Amino acid sequence: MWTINNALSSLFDLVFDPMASWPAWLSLGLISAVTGVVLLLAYRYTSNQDAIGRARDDIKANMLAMKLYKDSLMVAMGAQFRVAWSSFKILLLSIPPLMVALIPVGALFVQMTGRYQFAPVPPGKTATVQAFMTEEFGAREVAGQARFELAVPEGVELLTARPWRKHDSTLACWKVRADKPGLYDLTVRAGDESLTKLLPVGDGASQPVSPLRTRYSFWEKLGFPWEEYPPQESSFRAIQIREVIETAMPDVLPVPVLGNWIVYFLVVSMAFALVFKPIFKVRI
Amino acid sequence: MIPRRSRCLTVFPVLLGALALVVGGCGEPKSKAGGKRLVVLGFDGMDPRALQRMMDQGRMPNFKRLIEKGGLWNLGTSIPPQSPVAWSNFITGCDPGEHGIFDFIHRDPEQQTDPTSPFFSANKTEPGDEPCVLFEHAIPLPWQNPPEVILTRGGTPFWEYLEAAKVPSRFYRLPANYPPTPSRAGYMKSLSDMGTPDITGSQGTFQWFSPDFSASSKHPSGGMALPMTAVRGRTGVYTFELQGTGNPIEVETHYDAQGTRYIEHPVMTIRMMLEVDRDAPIARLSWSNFGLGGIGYEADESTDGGAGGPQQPDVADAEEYEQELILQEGEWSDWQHVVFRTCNLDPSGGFPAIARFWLKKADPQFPELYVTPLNFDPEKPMATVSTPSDFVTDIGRKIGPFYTQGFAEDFKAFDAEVTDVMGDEKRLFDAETYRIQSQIVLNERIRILDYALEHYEDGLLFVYFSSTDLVAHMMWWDPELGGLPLDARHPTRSPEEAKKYHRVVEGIYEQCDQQLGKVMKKVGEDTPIITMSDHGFGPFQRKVNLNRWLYDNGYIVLKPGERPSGSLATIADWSKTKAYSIGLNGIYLNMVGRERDGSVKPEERDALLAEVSEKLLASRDPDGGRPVVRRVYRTDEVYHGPYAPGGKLSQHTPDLIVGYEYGYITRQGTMGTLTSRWLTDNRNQWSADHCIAAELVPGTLATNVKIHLDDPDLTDLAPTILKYFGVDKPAQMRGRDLWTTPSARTASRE
Repeated sequence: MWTINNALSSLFDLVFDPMASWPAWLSLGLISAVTGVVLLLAYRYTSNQDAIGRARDDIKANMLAMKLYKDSLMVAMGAQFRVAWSSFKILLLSIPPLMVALIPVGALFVQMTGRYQFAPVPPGKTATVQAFMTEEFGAREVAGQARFELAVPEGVELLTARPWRKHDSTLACWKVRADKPGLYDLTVRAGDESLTKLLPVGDGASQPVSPLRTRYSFWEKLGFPWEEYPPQESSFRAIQIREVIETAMPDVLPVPVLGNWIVYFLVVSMAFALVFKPIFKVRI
Repeated sequence: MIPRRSRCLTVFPVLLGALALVVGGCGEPKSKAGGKRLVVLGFDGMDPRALQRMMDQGRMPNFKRLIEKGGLWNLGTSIPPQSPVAWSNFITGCDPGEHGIFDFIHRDPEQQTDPTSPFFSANKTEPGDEPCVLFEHAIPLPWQNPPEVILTRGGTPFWEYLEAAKVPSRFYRLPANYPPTPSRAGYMKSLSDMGTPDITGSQGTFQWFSPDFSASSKHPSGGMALPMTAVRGRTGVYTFELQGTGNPIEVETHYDAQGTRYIEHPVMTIRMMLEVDRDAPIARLSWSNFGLGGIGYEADESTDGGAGGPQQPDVADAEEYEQELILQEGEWSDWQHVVFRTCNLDPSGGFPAIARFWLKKADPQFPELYVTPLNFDPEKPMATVSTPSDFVTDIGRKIGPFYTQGFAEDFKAFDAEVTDVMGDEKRLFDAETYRIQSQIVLNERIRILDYALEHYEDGLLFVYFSSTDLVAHMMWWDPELGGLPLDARHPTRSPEEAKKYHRVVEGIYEQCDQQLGKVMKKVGEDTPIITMSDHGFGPFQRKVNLNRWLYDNGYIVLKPGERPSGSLATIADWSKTKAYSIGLNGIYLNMVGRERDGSVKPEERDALLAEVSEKLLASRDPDGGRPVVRRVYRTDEVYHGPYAPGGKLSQHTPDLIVGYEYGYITRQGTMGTLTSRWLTDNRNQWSADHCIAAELVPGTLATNVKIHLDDPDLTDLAPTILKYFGVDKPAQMRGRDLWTTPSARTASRE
């Protein structure tokens, strides 16, 4: 899974990297516009356009029938039923293209999350490093057979001399701080194992920001593809930078609701899809 | 009918006009200050003697540079020199006879010394209509009036005259102005300070959690000592309930001793979990802002979960909570957002507040956690703390959360003591902790000053600092500054410690000097700058109970068989009592026609006032024979206006104001009670004060503009500011324009 995700991340890097210095509204706007048009074309070629066209024609005809025969209850009700049936058919016909779009759009969303959702830790702000461990390791730690340790590189200050441990030692936390922007390698040692986690520090994201390095579940792995997953037999379940997962990037636009990157993406992509719909003669 | 094309032509300009109105309406109103600027920095309680000495030592370079162009004066303070009174003098340019604030505490003459009589002078809460109650739930009805807090200060604040002249004014932390006065035309913006409550409506109630409190221990003054409950089977894991404000939609019905029904809103709480590491002094604190909690693990009834309080039967795992922070022993958290929920599916979004946490002790057996008073979240305030109401939000968005309450320096936590499970006294703050907490407050004020300077264009800019007052109350002690024999001992500290912590006060002064330097640099040294304080400071050695003195001298008479101890409301024979005291400096005659059980006839008033004054001035401290009282002020002589005795609004006005000598402060009997002696040693951390004779604690006035008067007074500042912006002094203001009025000496020379 890591190989696929890594390849996908590298592919998306090729797309996002040239826009790294652009303002978020511009880069996301461009991505949204292209995505809207590409998805429109994907819809065009993966859906049964003839069947959708017939269903839409049926809907129009029956709407007209309802208007013309509004005094005839039977005709109006029959027309209403046929409108509902045709709408349902369109819904069914939309499933195949939606299924086709699901995986690439999902992957795109994950990649966009790393760039427009998670914010790096601001310089000078305290961050909490959390190491989630297996219960087996926790039991060994409680018994004094293993210890936790965090090694920080130059430029990162370790603020807690000793980690805080949950009562069963399945979780350990440290507080760290870096005053200069950068991507720092933190190494958590647990017994004779160690695992590194990147600590992103900066005022804005120029590369994907990953709050979590995990092997915990399929969905978590899918959602955080930027750092290699710990081996399945590792005592580490995950390492997380809490402040990164808690802190959202600023809105892409200073406009309520629309400024949120997801809303902005949906609005811009839909707007471009609607503009290009008559040009590409797509029936939706 | 208008043709289609014509209709377009008609509609278009109308739309443009509407758009212009909307856009124009969104901005600031146009200033008529003509680029004139004036900056006033209010340093509460900055003492002129201390300032002068530090300037002489070269430690206040910016003040020195400021006064080279203007000067440094003692600034006449209010009678009595209490902060709400003094700042009201500043705000109105009048004495208390005009604004009606005489003390921190006023009394209702209809209730005299009843427990419900004393109230905070600067504002009061009008209870709203009783809600419609259905199955212990309050149903808000649109025609019902909710409870409302009302500013009780009378008179007209000077910014209203500036506003009429279209001169902008900005007040960043304005004392004695809560709730904030509205701005009619948008020229005035203010953020309230002293008098602004926490979310519970109190003047700041801290919470102190530990499993180590004795069940019989009372809450400390100004705070709550609350239990932590050990979670069974997990050493060092505790839950506790953070106490919020009353739940507006839930109701509990009670009946008092007379059988009268009354309702209370139960307090909303947030369940929190503290997990202390088993052998490192560090802990995790977690909670949910979505009302989660009370689910998860069931307690094992058979085992003991740890020392301290009762066992928790039903506890959520901390992983259920979305909020968490790691704290080391002695560490302060940043501001944390906490949201109190009225019910499980609260559609209102809950009641947001902010709090800081201080992990006093990370001992798995006996942890201790302090929580600041819950403040309004500046970004989502649930009460109006600024004018306009979104002013505080703008500041909060720019600089982050900050204390919105007044009295932010938690002096109450410094004096707080409770009994632990072993029966020993346990203290909350030590001097160092108070210093750190006060510095947090000062740092916030500095950030507010930076914001203020960044957004200042023209008109008046006022910025207020409270640290100079509330740090001095707890740490001021220097016999060289006067008011003390040189060998006088601090009530609780050794001479070395007293000296060390007086240096903290000086450190605050030095930081104020740095802020002044910043202001001078930013606005330019040609811009008039006034730095001022409402009063100075003196030591506090002996606690006075004025009611006991009145009793000892025969002015308070008790019912037969009553012992001289406790509330006058129950023990006094009002038919024979001639005078009583409520508050810090006021004495009220028991006047017929004014007081509920009055006994003093109007024709007896003058003679009685003279007699009481004479005896007070002659009173001596049995311990050393020092005089206790320097001046006794008759309010009918020193106050002018509708609140002065004889005025139509004078029912709350005391008849005498007692001005003590250095070292003596009313600290007992302020709510109308008797204690065993009228003078006792002060044993509190609160070791300096200013509620004495006004001439002993003048404020500070330092400006870069020459003043022609020899005796500037707080009431002079409002007319001076108005005159500077071309506004004539209103008739009711008693102050003078400092910058153009010649002094008596100059005038006589001329």
